[in-house]
Amino acid sequence: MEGLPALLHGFEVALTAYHVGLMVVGVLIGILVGVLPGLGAPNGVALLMPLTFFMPPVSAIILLSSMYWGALLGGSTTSILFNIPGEPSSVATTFDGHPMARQGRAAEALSLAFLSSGFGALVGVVTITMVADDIATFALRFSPAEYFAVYLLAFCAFIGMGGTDALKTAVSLLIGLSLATIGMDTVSGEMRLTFGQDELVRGISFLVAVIGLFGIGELLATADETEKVEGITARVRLAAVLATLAQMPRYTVALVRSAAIGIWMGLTPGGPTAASFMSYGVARRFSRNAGNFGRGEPEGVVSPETSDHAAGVSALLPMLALGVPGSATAAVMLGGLMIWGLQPGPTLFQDRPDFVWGLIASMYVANLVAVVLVLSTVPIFASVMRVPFGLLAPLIMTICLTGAWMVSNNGFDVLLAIGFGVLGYLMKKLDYPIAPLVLAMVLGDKAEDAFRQSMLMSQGDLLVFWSNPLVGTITTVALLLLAWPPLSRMLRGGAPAVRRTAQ
Amino acid sequence: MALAAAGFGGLVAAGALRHDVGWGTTGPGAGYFPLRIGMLLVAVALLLALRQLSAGAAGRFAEPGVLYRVGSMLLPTALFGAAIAPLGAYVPMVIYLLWMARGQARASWPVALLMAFGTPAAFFLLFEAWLTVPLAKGPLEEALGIY
Repeated sequence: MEGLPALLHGFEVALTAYHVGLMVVGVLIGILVGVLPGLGAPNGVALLMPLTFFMPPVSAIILLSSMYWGALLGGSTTSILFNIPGEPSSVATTFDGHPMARQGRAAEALSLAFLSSGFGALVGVVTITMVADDIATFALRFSPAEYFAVYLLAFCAFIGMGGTDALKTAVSLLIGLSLATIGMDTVSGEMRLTFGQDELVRGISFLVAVIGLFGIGELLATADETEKVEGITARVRLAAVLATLAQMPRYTVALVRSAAIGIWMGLTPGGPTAASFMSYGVARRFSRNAGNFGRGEPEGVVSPETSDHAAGVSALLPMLALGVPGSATAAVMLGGLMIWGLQPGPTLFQDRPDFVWGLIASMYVANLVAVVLVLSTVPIFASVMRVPFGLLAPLIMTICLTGAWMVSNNGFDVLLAIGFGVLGYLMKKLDYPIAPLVLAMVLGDKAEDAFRQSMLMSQGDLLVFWSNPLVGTITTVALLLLAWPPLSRMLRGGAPAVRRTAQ
Repeated sequence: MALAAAGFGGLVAAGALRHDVGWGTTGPGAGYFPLRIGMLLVAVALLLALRQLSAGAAGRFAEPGVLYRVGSMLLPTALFGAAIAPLGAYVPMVIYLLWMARGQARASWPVALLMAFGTPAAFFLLFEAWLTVPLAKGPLEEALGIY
């Protein structure tokens, strides 16, 4: 545990009045963003990004990450009270959280959700604290070939384990990679894929894409559905929270299991959404009250919430140590890191320990702040949902377009964001996942550079990706993950046949 | 959708062909990576299109009412977005919010007016006065001398 002194130094950075103030602001904006339809964590972070260009990087990342924690909690609030997931990762919370609220146990459901979120986040941060240095030291041995293999692993993991249609995920990923190549080539300085358009020389900003895909696209999709919102009012009293807290030990197994799933999915690029669904599924299979799932079973709230937060928190570690984000929001933050002039990767731990450990320490404090704040402000934020969507939508739209303008004070970006909005709407409608596209846009350039450098080192021999045990293992695992969907189908198809012969 | 993606992949590949797609003096040329990505995209998208074709799922994309609802939000927004660069952020914002609140959501006049003028005012205070991030300015702002 050489991390301990570093962590203590991190607390010195994180616990200044300015930074704690930023956490409170970040968490409050985050909860609002999580509650509002059409504003989620990824594009909330993207919208706030231009405002952080003038801050020191530590303060900026503390603000943005605090907002992320707030958004995760805000998403659960609407899931439980309104049956509307504010975030994709809180969809699984609606299955049992909303039935609980309808049975008049809203306060209990909310407290359960927030407390298990807090637990998941805590386990996530502790894990990060313990393994961060080791992973960074390990990653120092990486050459371009290893880096490309890791990127490949991230892409393949999405396709193989994302839980959505593998072909559609691949299409989304490849579109993202193509978009990333637009603009000036980093090696030769040639203009690529601009087709003579001056506007495209700078490339397409991933911030604009995120604002369009997640923000505008989401609003259009909501306009498409327009369900009647039937909310349940809830006021969370301290007594209810304490009573729930006393109940928590009952769910120890679910908590620990879900935290483990969440951390695993966060470290590998499965992301919080996949983590919460998987955890819910596992909980339903192994619970003694399996029959009660979907009808207001507390374990069905505890499990996805714990995983969701454990994954959200641990997703930041691969982003810092390897430069490979574990979730869409982490991908946006990674892009921010590069804009602030920081080079994500193992060297970040050596060059900017104040940044890394300041962030890690802030995660302890900010998650605590977030749970306390969300418990005390639920009624206020829930009332936001009573504003008719017809009024809320244009307001959020205005925020999105203004945000797109602020990325680089450019009118073309605004139109681009609207274009991405239409694309996002179509993708949502036709069940194409959006997160891979964003991940690919952020990582595309780096993956291409790593690939070209390795090719240069090996004089064009693709076997460089199997040239030593380390890179060979990563590449092989990546290709195995890519082949996972058809493989698992074959295994599953083969299983009954085996059983029959056994009989 | 799958066909459109294939088309986009083809475009990427075609664009990449304008560059050195093979082995240059500095390693793989500028077009090397995009060409392969483009071709992969075409392949995967065609596979997807084939699968959908064989499944024969030619269901309707959306009901007309839905398209109308989405369009009635998208069109004004697109106009608003297009107007920001030439007219500045504030004037189109007021018109857009007024139209959406009064014309679409059928809010009462006081609510609509409050929203249409309150939002730009809040934006001005938040971004320009407090955070000193300039928003887009147009002829009206210039005429009034707010800069």
